[in-house]
Amino acid sequence: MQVVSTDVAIIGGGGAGLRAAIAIAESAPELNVTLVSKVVPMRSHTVAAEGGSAGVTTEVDTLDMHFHDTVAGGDWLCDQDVVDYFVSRCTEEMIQLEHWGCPWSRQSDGHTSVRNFGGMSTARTWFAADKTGFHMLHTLFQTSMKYPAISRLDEYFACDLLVEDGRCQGLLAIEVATGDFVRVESRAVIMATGGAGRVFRQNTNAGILTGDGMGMAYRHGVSLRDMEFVQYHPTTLPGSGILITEGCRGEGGYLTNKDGNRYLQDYALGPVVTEPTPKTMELGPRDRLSQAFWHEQQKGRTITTPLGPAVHLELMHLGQRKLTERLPFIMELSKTFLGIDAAKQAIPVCPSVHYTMGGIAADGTTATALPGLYACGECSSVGIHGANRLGSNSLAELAVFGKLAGENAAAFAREQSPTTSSSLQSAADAAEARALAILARQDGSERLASVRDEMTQTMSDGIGIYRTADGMQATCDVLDGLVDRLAHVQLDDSNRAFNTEWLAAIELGFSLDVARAMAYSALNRRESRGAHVRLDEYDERDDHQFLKHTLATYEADAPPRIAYSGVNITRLPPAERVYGAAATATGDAANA
Amino acid sequence: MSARNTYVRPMSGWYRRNPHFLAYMLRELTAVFLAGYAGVLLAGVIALTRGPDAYAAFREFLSSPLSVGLHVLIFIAALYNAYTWFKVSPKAMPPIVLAGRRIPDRVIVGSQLVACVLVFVAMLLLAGMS
Amino acid sequence: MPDRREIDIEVMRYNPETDSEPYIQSFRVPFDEDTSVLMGLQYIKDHLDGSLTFRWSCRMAVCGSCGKMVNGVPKLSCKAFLRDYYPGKLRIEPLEHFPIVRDLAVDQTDFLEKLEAVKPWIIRKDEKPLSEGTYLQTPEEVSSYLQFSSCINCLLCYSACPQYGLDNSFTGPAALSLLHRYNADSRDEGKSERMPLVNSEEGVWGCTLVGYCSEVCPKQVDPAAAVNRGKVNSTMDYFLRFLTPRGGVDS
Repeated sequence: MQVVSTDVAIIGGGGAGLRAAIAIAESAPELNVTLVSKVVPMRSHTVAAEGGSAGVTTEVDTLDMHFHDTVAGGDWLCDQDVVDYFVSRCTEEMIQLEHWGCPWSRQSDGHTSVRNFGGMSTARTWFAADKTGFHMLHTLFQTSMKYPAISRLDEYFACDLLVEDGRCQGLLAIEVATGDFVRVESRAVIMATGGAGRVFRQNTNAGILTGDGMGMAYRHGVSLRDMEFVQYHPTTLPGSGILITEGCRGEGGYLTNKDGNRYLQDYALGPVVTEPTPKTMELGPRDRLSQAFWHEQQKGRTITTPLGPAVHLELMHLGQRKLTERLPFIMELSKTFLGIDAAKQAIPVCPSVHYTMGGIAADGTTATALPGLYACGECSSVGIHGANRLGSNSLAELAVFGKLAGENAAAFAREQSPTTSSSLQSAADAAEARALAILARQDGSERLASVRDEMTQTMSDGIGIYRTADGMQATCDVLDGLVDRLAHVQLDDSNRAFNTEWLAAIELGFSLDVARAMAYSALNRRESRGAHVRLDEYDERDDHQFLKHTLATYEADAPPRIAYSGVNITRLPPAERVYGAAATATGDAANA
Repeated sequence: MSARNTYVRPMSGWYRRNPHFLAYMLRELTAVFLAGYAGVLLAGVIALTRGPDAYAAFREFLSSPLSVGLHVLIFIAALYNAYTWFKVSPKAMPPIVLAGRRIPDRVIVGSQLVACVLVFVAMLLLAGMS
Repeated sequence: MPDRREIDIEVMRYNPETDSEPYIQSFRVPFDEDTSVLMGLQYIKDHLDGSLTFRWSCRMAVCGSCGKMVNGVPKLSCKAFLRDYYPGKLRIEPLEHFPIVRDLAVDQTDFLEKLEAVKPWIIRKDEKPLSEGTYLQTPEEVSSYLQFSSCINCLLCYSACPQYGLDNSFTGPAALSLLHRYNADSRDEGKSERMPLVNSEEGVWGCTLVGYCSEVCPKQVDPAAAVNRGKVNSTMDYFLRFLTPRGGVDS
C-alpha cells in the first residue's frame, strides 16, 4: 500500500476544504497540506451555489442585525457565541475573496453590490450575478495553486479515517483511476465533504453529495448533530430539483399559485408588496415558504406539470436587461431544462431537499470530539444554522469556518509528534479489507440502484416538509431493512480501475448511516421547530423540552443512539419567529 | 491521478470527422491559391525587367484560357479566404463598446463585408473610367 | 408518460485491465421529453450494466464533469437531450484528444497542469490589507474579463481543438482563456510574468484559429477570442521590447 505522509490532510475540495488549505499555507507555511477529493476540486458542489454570500457591509446594516436574523431564522437552535464569531468574520472573508479575484457584481462607482435575501433584515448578500458559488469555488481553487505547500490528491476517494491512540491520524483513500489504496498519514484531518442531499429522491444536490464525511466521522464515534433539520429549498425545478436561486426573489420575483395569486400573503408573510421588502412575502425564510407550498398543494391551488405539482416564479416584470445582468444563469437553466424564456414566461418551481443544517458535531472552533479531527462547511454542525439556515449564510460559513479549521488544525498538527506508520497500518489494512469485500462478493442478490432508490424514496416519504410519527417510524423501519440488504448487493463490475459502481456502493453505506441518523433524530424530536414540522400532536415548538441539539451516535448493528445537548444562548432569549407585517410591527425587520 | 494503460486515439483523418474541420482545412487550402497568385504577380514583375518582349509574352499568357480559368479559381478562393477572416475578426480585436453596449460580432463582420463590396465596386468603376 | 419512447445508445467501452483498444456497445434506453443524455447513461448504469463508467456530478451544466462526444460533437451530457437525436441513434464517446482511462472517462491531468502554468491567480506587487476593504472595479472593468472567468473547465474546447489533438504541448483554449482573464483584470499586475508563456510556441501561437472551441463552449466564454487577443498582446509585447528599456507590455 502506498503511503503519503503529510502534516494536515483535508478531505473534500469544495469551498470549505480549499479555504482551509489556503489558511494553512498562509498561517503555517512550514506545514504540508494534502487535499484529498473524490472529484477534481472545481467539480465540487460549491460550484452550484447561485444567490450569494452574507457579509454586513452597508451603512444601515449591523453585525447585531445579522446575528438576530440568523438566530431567529434558526428558530433559536443556534449557538449564539458561534453566531457572533461568524457574523463578525463574514465581511472580511468576502473582501479576502475579492482580493483573490472573485468577480463580485459591482455598483457603478466600483464598490461591490449586495442584494436582498430571504429572512435577512436588509440587503447584505454579496453576489457574482447568479453564479456566486461557481466564482467563489474557482477563485479559491485557482488561488490554491499558488501555494507550493498544498498538494492535491485529485480523484482519490476517502473511504475511512485512521484513528489510533484516541486521535485521528490520517485516512485511507482509493485512487479512483487505478483502484489502488493509499494510506495518508497526517497529524490532523479536516473533514470538508459537504452535505448529504442525495439521500432524498428530489434534491438540488450533485451526485457526489452522499454524506461520506459525515458517515466516516460518525462510524468513529463522533456524533451527528441536529440531523433532522433538512432544508427544503422552495424554488427548484419539478422532477430534477435543479436550483432556481433565492436571488430571483431577492431581485423582486413573485411566487403565484394556479389562480395567479401571490399566495404567501395567506401564510403570515404579507402584506403584499411590489418591491423586494426584507422578511416579507417572497423574502420570508425557506422553511416557511416550503411549508406554504405544501399547504397550497393540499388546497389544490398548485399547477400540474408533467413532473409534479408546482407554483409559478414570475420574473417577467423585472425586464430583460436586469435579468441578463443579475440572473443570467437562471435564464440559461430555464431555456435548457424547460425550453422557456424567463423574461416572457413564469418558471414552474417546487420545493426540493437542498441543505443539511446538521452535521458532524463540532464546537465553535471546528474541533470535533475526536482529537485531531476538524470539520467545516456543510458536513459540519458548528452551531450557526440551528433549525433553519438562512440563504447566503452557507457560502459565508465555508469561508469563515474553512479558514478557522485550517488555522486550528495547523496549530494542533504542530504540537503532535509524527505518526508511527506501523500502528496505522493495521487499521488501514482492516479498512481496505472491508472495501475489497464489497468488490469480491459473489453471491449477492441485490441491485445497488434498487437499494439506493428505496432509500431516497422512503426519506422523501417520511422526512418531508411536514412529518408524522407514523411516517417517520415507517422510514426508520425501511432504512433498518436496507442496511441489511446493502450487505447483499452484487456489483456488475469486478475491476479495480475507475470502478464507479464499487465507489457508489461504499457511498451508499455512508448515505444509509446518515439517513438513519436523520430519520431517528426526526422521530425523537417531539416538537415542531424550523425545518422540522410535525402534523401530529407535536405541532408546536417546545422550548421546555426541546431547546436542545440532537446528538445521534453510531451503534454497530443497531439504530443510532439519540441524546441531547444544550444550546448556548448568550444574549437573545427565545421568542416567537415573526415575518411580514408582524416583523415590521415589532421592529424586527428593521432592527434587532 | 496516475492512470495506467490509458488509450490514446489516433488523429489520422481528423479533418474528415467534423464539417467544421473540413471548412477550416478548406480555408487553409485557399492560402495556396493566394500564394499562387503572388507567384503570378512576381512572374509579371520579372517579365517586366526582362524587356518588352518578355512582358508581352507574359500578357499573352494572362489572356490564355488556362490563365483565365486559374484566375477565376484564385478569385473564388480569395473571396472565401477573405470571408473566413472577416468572420473571425471579432475574436482578434478587443470588444468595442458604444453607449454602454457591446457591438455584436455579426455587426462587425457585416460592416466589413459591406466595406469590402463598396471598395470592390469603386475599383471596378475606376477601372472602367481609365 | 404518454410519450415514452426508446432510443439506441452506442457507447464506447474501454477497460484498461482487459482491453487493448476500445470497442462499441449498444444499449436500448427508454426516454421522454426531459431525458438528458446523462440520464440515458445513468439508466444504463442502474439497470443494464453497472460497469459503464462515466463522470458526472451537478447535472445542471455548471460543474463541468460530464463532457462527452455525442455523435462526434463535444457536449455536456446533462445539457443534451435524447429527444433531439430521435428517431436516429446516439454514439457516445469519451472527449476527443484526451487519453481514455476507462469507458467514457478521460485523463484530465494534462489540463490541470496547464491551468496551473498560466498562474491563474491575482498577482500584486503590493497586497492591500483587508482592513482597507475591496479594490474598486467599475462594471465596465469587470466586463472586460467576466466572460473569460465563466469557464467551467469542462474541456469541450480541447476536444474541439485539432491543434491540441495533434500536439498536446499547446496550452489550449480554456487555460489560455483563464490566462487572459487574469491579464485583463484591473486588479492584476502579473501580466509580465505570464507573457513568456503567451509568447511561446506552446502559448497563443500554437493556435491556428480553427475557431471550433468557441462554437462548442457551453458557457459562451469564446476562448478563440481570448487566444487571439493574446496574439495581439503578444505582438505588442514583441515590439515594445525594442522600444522600452525593460521591455514588455507590463513595464
